[in-house]
Amino acid sequence: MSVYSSDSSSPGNGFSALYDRYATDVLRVSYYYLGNRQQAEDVTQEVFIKLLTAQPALIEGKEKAWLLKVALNKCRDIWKGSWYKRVVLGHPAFELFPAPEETDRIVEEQALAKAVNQLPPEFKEVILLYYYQGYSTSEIADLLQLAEGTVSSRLSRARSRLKAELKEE
Amino acid sequence: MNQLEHLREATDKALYGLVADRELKNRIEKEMLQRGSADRVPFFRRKLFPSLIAVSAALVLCLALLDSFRTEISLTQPQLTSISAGARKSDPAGPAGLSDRSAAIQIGEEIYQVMPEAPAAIEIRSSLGKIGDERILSSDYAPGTEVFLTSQDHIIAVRAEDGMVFLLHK
Repeated sequence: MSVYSSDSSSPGNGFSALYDRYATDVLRVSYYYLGNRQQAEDVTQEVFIKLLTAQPALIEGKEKAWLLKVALNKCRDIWKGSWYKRVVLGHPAFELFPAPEETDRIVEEQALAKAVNQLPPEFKEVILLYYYQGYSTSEIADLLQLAEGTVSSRLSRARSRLKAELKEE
Repeated sequence: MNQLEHLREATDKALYGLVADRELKNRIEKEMLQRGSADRVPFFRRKLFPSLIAVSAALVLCLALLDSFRTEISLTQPQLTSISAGARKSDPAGPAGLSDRSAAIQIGEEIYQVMPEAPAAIEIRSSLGKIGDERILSSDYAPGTEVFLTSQDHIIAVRAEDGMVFLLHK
């Protein structure tokens, strides 16, 4: 019996519930990574299709980690595959989709989002998982199959880069 | 980096319009339906047919290999190694008292008569004989080989080209 079904009448841990809960996070992390909405949507689609086809036995509460892990793997593949496009034809501008109401910090927030997008993939991953998704360093290490020390080191170097980047602006 | 602590909030505002909406969900469901129908391709077309082709190809390959191997064997087979005894009558080194080999052949104390019906002898040559544990095929005999039948139903073959005698156990 399939645990995750595209049938909307399936129980709460089915595709529909997981999509409603986590798809936007998957989409935004993918967008941060790739800077391309179409590609980010494709990644999100592939992640949920994998969920439906592979039917992984996920521990409750760990579903998002699995979805993000699959998404980051797919982003990495696309990133590597698009080397020529990025390097020769240029990286597409990181488009923002701001909230309609303007706040005092809007410029600052947008600058931060752009700076995160500009980080190299290995730094971007840890920053997004730590600050955006709220995972601990040990959880990130588990998710990315890295040593915890490596995660801490990457976080520290990513912070330094962001600091320098945001100061310049 | 206090700003980073607010990355969630900043993202929610900066990427406010980037949401996984109903449209994307429908796209995924539609894609799943398409892939599902692709999975429903009859078993024989999806798995069995390609498997059968692969197995057949492997079988043909094996047969081809075996055939070439057999050819190798049959080419080397005529090198008979188990020679019981014998020589031409005219051969000075041959056994003493060898009678006219067109009628009989003597090996040691025993005299073997030529098989009276030559075609039958040829028939025998065409069938399988044995030297020790080795199977002998009719192709092992050179043309002109004379065949004798012993009283114990053994076959003696005298090769025409050199007069060598082979004792075959039927």
